[in-house]
Amino acid sequence: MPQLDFFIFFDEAFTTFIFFFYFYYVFSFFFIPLLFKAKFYLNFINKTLFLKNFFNASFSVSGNKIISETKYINKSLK
Amino acid sequence: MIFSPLEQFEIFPNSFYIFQSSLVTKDFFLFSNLDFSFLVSLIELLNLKWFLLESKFVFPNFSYFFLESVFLVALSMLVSMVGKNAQANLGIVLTLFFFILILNVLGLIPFGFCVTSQIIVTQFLGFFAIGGLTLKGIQNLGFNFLNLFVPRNVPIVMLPFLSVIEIISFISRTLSLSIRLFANMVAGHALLHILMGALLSIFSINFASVLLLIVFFLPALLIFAIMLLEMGIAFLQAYVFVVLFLIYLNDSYKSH
Repeated sequence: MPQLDFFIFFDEAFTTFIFFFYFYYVFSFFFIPLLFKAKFYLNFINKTLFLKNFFNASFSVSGNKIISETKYINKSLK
Repeated sequence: MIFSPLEQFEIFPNSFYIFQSSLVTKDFFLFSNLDFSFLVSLIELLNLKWFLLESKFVFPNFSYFFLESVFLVALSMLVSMVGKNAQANLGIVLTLFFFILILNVLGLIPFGFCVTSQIIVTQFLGFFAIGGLTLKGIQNLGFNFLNLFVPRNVPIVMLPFLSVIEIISFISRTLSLSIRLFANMVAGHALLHILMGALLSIFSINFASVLLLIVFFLPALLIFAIMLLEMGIAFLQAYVFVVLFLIYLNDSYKSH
């Protein structure tokens, strides 16, 4: 039985260790910071505002509308 | 030809050859079909990364929001089951879930190898999950962590026996976590193998018969339905592992 071979057992456990901690590294230091910091940046909590912006962005051609809206906001700020 | 349903779980050690000489000796360092499956899981993870960052609009794509909703569900589960002070454990919870899910689903791809059907892999996950929880409990609660082994409102005469039972149940959490995942995966894959083998053996009686082709359509549908069920089990086992991990994590934060 090859499964009873010590080296294969060691290899399996060692490989699991390496890959599990690589997954942990990716999730802890890449996915979670990316997703949870972006949440505040995008104002994700306000669903209605998010949907409005999403459809405006997706229907506009090459982002012209966004640029015009940004100009409008800039003017109003001045 | 008769195939054993368990031969699909066999590990084949391979060795690399460069310029007609082996790069690593077969006895020392192995590159098996299990390692190859792990490498494929890594490609899945990198794909996930790529899908997440690939965004054509100002706002992120669908996979971003899907993943974010999964993360928020995990966070809400963590807060509701353990508490707000346990939010730092989100990384390990998500890692356990996605690690088991990706490996389970990769095993269902035809000619793939199911990594979670190996007892040492699941045993590693269970042992380190429970070991980590124990260390976390000692770090958070200190000596009060031992209250876990002392049941309340019990006669003093019964207390030693019940404490021994509690200790045994605590140790057997490792086994229960690992054997549940291992047994589910082995049973599902063996069932699929047996049914597919039966279908192929009947099919080989008369290959040219059109009537038989129509008759075998129904068993093929049955196998397809079981395949879908296996997909559900692959997801469910990852979920069950994480939910049990959270229940056990509760003991590391709250002393009763």
